Amino acid sequence: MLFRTLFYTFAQAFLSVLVAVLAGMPAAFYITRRNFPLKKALSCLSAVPMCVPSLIMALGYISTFGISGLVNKFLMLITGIETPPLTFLYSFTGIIFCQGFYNFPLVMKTVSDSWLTLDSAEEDAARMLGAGECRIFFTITFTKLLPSLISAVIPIFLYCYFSFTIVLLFGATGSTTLEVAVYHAARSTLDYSKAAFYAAIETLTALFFVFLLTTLEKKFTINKTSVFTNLHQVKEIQRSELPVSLIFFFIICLCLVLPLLSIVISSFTVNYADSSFISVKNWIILFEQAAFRKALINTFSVALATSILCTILGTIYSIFLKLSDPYNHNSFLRVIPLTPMAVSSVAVGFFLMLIFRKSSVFTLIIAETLLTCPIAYRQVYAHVSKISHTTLDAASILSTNVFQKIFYVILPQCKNGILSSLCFCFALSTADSTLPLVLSIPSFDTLALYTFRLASSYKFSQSSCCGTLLAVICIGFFFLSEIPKKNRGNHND
Amino acid sequence: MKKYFLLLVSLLLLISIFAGCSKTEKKAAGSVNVYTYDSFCGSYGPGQAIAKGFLDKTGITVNYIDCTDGVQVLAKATVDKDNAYADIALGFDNTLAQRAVNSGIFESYMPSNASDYIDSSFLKAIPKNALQVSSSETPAVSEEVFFTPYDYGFFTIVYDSQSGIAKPKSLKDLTKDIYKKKIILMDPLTSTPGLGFVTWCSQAMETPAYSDFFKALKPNILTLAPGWSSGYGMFTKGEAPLVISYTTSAAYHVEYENTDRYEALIFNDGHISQIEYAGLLKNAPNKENAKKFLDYLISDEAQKEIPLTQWMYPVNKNVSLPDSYKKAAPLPSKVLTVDTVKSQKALETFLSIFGK
Repeated sequence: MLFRTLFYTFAQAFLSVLVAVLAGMPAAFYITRRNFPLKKALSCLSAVPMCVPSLIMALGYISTFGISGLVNKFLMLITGIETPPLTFLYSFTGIIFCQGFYNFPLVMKTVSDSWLTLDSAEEDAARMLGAGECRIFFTITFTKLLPSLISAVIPIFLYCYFSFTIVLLFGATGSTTLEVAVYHAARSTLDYSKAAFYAAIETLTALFFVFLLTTLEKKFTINKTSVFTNLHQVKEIQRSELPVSLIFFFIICLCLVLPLLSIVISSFTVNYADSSFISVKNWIILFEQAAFRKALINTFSVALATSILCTILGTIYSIFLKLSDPYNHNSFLRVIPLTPMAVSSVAVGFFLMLIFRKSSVFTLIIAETLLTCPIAYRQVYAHVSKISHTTLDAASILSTNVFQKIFYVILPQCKNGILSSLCFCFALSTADSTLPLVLSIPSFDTLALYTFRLASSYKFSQSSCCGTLLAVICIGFFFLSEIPKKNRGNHND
Repeated sequence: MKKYFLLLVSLLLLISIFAGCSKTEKKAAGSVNVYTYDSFCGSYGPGQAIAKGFLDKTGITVNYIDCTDGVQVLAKATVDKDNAYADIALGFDNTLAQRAVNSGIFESYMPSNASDYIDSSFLKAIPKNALQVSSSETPAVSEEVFFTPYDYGFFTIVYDSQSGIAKPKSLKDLTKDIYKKKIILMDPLTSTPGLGFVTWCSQAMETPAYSDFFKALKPNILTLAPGWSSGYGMFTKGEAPLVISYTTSAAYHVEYENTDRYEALIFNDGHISQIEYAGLLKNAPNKENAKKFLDYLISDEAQKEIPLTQWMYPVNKNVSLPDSYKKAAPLPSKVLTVDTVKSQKALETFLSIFGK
């Protein structure tokens, strides 16, 4: 039983990651190497996995690919058949499909950030020697991108490994994951020793995979010293690429944009007297509530504090790693900050309940900071690790002390990583409903919490309003974070 | 860069000050702390109106601490028993009540005028300490009674009349081929209505019968949703015409959407009830205020908030139900009593059949 659950948990996480990579890599290619309309919009989708609650996202997929979803209605209309042709959503394929497309923007974001800073000298040389684009990609570019790809895969794998809502909702009846077993033991039967046993197995196996992936990441990281960097050229989409590009963008629109759009449409839908119509009534009702406005302010305050604290801690640890272990010898130091990501949220919630019996906003900020820190670390370290040894050696010679080296050389070089970390952590904190729920702060709501409260009170349309607002806030922050990158192509490091 | 860093640190300090100011420990004499669940204390639940009414009447502030669900209300109260913060645990139901008695964290208290408001059947249904049962057969207004019931409901199947499919008349009908992939249930491991369905089936059928019933039912289940919100959300999106919910669910759609599209079905098999309780904690720091709150909780004033916010029936028999309830929230003619041993066995059978 345990082995079966463990295998199922791993299988759905692994295959979901595979789908995310297959969709995320081409998306990263288009973001970094091609110009096309709405490029910024595609780039901002990276906020989606972080900020749209899985319940709302699941309802979005149901609205699109469900038995009564838009796609089935359309297919029935054009083919004339009476039964919905697409029923894959409620199966193992449905889980993989949803989790893969829900998380692919993370691969797109992390890989494209790395791709933007890659030196194209080797590719140019290979091209001059007559190598084809495919061969160049798989033998040179892909190898260079592997560390960032693995870096993106780790959080996606962990999100899917600890998945709950989507697995239960779409999985065949009877399918279950380790997180469900922990939940049942800790929260339904209150059998804490059993919960601890399952949580330990879950955490140890997750940590094993994290260690494995981190080792791979280290293995593929190339410490290359280069004084000049030739950035890749950004071209328009070629005529020969047009059919493939159109198919790809159609798939992205269908599998991610349409479910998101259906959430927005749902927020503007009012059901009355057996008919539905578009109205802003749900939004008006929502904004008229003092509790909602308070939740909005709480969300901003907590997310801002958490993102700043996480980024400071993540930056300090990244710099410490770069200076103390510049040649990536110590894998242990790299796995340590990822530990909080490999722990069951149900188990974390229970331990936090034991530790913080009388919680406050301060407690929430601290708890969120601890759990979100790995993201900040990974975002900043991706940039810190690219600082060449030559640069660091030169900085050591020219600086009078280590702080001068950090403030005048390292921090300016990882400015984008810091901004990216701020946005990611802000989005994560904004979307988190687990910790505010578990810590049970008296008279305190956040937007994510409010979204669930509305859904549990039959107010599904207003819940979609909240989900939409969460997405808009986070996507807005990502849009802002993209602005400093505008002129990056115009200079060499 | 230094400037940015200083700006960040200043911002952080400001926020920390804000966070510190928000950290209000409400243990003043004029307050009562209540562990409860989200749909009770949220802005759409009855909690806020009840707290306001109680404050206006007594001058005592109610602080709700959201513990997610009824099980967690009990868990948190048990964890905190030696260092009690809350005065009242509110929101555990009849399936948990015996466990709550056994936990030893509650003090016996029943509002003195409870029998004036609450039907005796509810008072009799309250689990009591086994030793005290033998000394008293009349639990009403007795000091041996630990919990105060405040609302109740019945699990049922809600039907979408626009689906064009015939509505089932009994639990057995749910196994018919016409309902293949047409029923949304919730996972009994993660959801109260999910567990409620399994308990309902176990009480409505003989022990070997429910095993065959679950086997025949399996192909007809579209999904075992993780919670009521996701399962009912799928139902309202038209994914399946049948869902496990409460007899009061259809009344919501009549009240706010002016539609009788959804129907709460009453089966001849009978239905099981869910009664929700509040209890005074033994180590409550504000015990007198807590007793006043429990008295107020069953009063006409507080109970009239229950139907249209909690979507459950109020226990106070004096409260008149809204028209939407009269129209769409039918009461079952046969109410089944719950045998917890039988329901536990049924859960194990269900889990083995559904491969969990």
